[in-house]
Amino acid sequence: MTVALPPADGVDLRVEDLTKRFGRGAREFTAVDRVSFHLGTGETLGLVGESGSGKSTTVRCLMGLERPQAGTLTYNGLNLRRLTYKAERIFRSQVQMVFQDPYSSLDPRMTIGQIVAEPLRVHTDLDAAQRRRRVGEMLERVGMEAAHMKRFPRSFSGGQRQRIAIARALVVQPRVLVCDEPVSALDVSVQAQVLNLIKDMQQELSLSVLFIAHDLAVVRYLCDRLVILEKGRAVEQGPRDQVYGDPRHPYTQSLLEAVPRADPVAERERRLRRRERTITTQEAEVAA
Amino acid sequence: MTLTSTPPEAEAPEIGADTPRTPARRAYEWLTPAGLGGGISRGLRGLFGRHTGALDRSAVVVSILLVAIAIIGPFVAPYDPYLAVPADALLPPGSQHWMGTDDAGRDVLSRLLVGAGTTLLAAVAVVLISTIVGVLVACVAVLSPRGVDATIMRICDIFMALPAMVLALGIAAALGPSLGSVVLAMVIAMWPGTTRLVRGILRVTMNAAYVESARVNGIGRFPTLVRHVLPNSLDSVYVQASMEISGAVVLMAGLAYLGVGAPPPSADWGAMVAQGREYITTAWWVATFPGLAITVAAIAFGLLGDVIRVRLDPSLRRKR
Amino acid sequence: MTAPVLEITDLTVSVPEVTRTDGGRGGLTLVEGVSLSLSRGERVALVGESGSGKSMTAKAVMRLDPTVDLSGSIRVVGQEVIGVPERAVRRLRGSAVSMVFQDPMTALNPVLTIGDQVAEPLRLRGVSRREARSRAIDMLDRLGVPSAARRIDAFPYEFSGGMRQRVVMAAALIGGPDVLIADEPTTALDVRVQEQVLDLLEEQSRELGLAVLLITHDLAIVAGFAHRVVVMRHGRIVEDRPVDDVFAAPQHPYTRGLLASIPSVDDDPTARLRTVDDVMQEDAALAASVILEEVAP
Repeated sequence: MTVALPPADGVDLRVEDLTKRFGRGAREFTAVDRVSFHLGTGETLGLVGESGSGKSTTVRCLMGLERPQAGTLTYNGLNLRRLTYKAERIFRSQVQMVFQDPYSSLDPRMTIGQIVAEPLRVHTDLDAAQRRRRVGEMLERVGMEAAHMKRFPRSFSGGQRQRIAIARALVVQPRVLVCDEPVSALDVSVQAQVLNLIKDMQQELSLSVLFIAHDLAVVRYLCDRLVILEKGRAVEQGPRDQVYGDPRHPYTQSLLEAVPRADPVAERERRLRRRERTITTQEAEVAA
Repeated sequence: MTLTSTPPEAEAPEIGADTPRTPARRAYEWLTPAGLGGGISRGLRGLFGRHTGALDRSAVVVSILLVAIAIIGPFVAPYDPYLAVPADALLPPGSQHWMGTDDAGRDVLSRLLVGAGTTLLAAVAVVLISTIVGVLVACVAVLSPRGVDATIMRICDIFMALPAMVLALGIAAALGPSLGSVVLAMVIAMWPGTTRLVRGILRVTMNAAYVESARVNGIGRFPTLVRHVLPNSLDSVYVQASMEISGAVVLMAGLAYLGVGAPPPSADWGAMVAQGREYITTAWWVATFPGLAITVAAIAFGLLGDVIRVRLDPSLRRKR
Repeated sequence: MTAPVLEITDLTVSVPEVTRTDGGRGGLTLVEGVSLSLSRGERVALVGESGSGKSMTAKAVMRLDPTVDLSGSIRVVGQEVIGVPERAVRRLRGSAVSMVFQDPMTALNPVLTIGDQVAEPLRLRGVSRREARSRAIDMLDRLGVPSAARRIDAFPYEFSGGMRQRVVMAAALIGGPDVLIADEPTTALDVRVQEQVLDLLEEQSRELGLAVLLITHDLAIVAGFAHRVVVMRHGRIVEDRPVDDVFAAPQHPYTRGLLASIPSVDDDPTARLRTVDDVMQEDAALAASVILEEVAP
């Protein structure tokens, strides 16, 4: 049933001193401030930060949806800021993306089959029958049925739509999968399914994954390395165990602290300590 | 259309979105011909309340009926609508002439039936052409660099600043009285409204993730527009267009009333009302029947637009 | 024992006629036989996935959705809500029971100042402008909105998500309700802001004796917050127990599945995440016997 796919080859994605500003004059603000990181073959890199941290903007600059003011973006030697037509074709067929909102990332007027086949139409010269076969295979691989090809996105739940989005991204056998908060819009119980799927696909296809999230608990399952972003700056970077086990930057520490734990007694204790801390801070302010 | 001084970054209001219904906006909505038709239909909906099924069905039925009359009218008319029979002038409605005769002795009913084709065909043609032109210009605007986009929008603003009636009047008068010049004049008056509306919708649709997904696959801006953005944006256009038909019918009637339009003995309804105005007190039927026909057509098409809007409503779009 | 401030008995929410995704038409029951009660100062979490009926239950309490049919009984501070005229329910809204919604970005009217919106529940009850304004400032202050007196005339767009949620809460609490229903109030927020909002809710509940019904799909956030956890699935309640019990020894396999699927920073990162289905399949035998219990009268 499953066609043996060749493992993805070398990946060398480099982001150096990426800077992106929005607005003009007094309203200008820097969304991404000299952010640098690197993604290699078979690696999974997590880009973690709260809203406004610049993680989405960074990725959008990478994919060409925004134009940065400064910085170097290269993929396997190709300069992403100055892509020739041919280079763009290569880049786009090898680097695919899954978006955050499952309810708006699928064209509501196209059938699932058409949606998943679109990258094939753009990047390959397979004929309609071949495309249909591939789409069917891909859908089965992500846990859907080939028969779903004829249906429209509105018949499916959020979790299912993300699976479809993943199928669309992987149908052209890319080397890199960029995931922009793919589970943030899903119920916690459904998140587990989609995360497992991404992990499975990553292993099966030897993908390199760039995973953006705001939840540190979520990235732990997927990522070898992490970049923590705060207000546009990369404040900490390192291997997973180091970041979780020995966070250096206070922001990382506070993010870790804030992750809710499924232990009522411990949580109540934490809350109590937080309250006491606030009261003492307030008292200190009053005294000052 | 009212004078609007819009700041450069303003968008056209999304149909169905929560545009703040300030008193000014409400007044504007009411004053346009489509607004009046829509307003009446909303009023009727209020009356019918929960039983709007009947209202919707009658709107569809009447619209179809009108189209049917437009097509078969000429074949069913009992008398020649153009032949003047001075001896039979201004006869009241009776067994021979169900709607009476006008000042030249022509049967009003026959003229009504034949005029249906002219009036409705002209109205539909106007709306069709102006919508196509409007959508095309909106697409160009949305794909162009900011400067060109802004220029196009300013041109639209200029056109929309003049009341449609005045604009159409001027153009039609300049081109000489004929059905063709009226149609052209109305198209020129109406396309900017469509462009503003469509451009606003296109811009919103283009922010959707599925459009970004297409772009991220390297699909160019124009193919993305055609394949993804347009199909998802045209719902409002269909609704707007069907409501505009009622507006066009009324506008054309108004122009004919003012003496611009197809010359007599043309049987279009507006011209008929214009002819009959001198006899309103003496021979009421000459102007009243065509007037009623215009009203019924305006309401029917306005309601039809309402029906289409309700059916196209993405009530299936789920939110968590 | 004081009477419960919110008492839902055998609530059924159904839609009379709808076109289903399989093309058929017919009635649909969204919530069935739900019974639940809240006492003064009690914090209860109503947990379930999308489509479990938790939001519908919450909206039914305030009769917010006129298109659904309600049957059963809902008593708010002793007053029946089902089957009574609209104006009776209106009197309760804002004063006895209040609600906070999920998305703070759209919950506030962008063209009105936050002061107007927070004061609105009071103004609707005839409180004078001046007094309403001062109470609004007070409320915003209590909820931790900095420089409340100065920012009372600011517009929503000037505030971040977390701040807007506080403004929304201020508007909900200013009428002094006995019950606050929070429908996924933290879902759209970052983890740190989430924490702040929950802390705030808990504080207000403690200080004002406010009963809180927190609706969420995320079991993790309720651990430190709720006294009791009620789990819903497919329109029915499958578990209703004190929070410590639910986390330590969940009874229903569905609850176990929900708990297991929470990703944690303490688990082994190389292991697979357990999903609800995984857990439920493992407990097939137990599930059968529990479902039998549910179905039997």
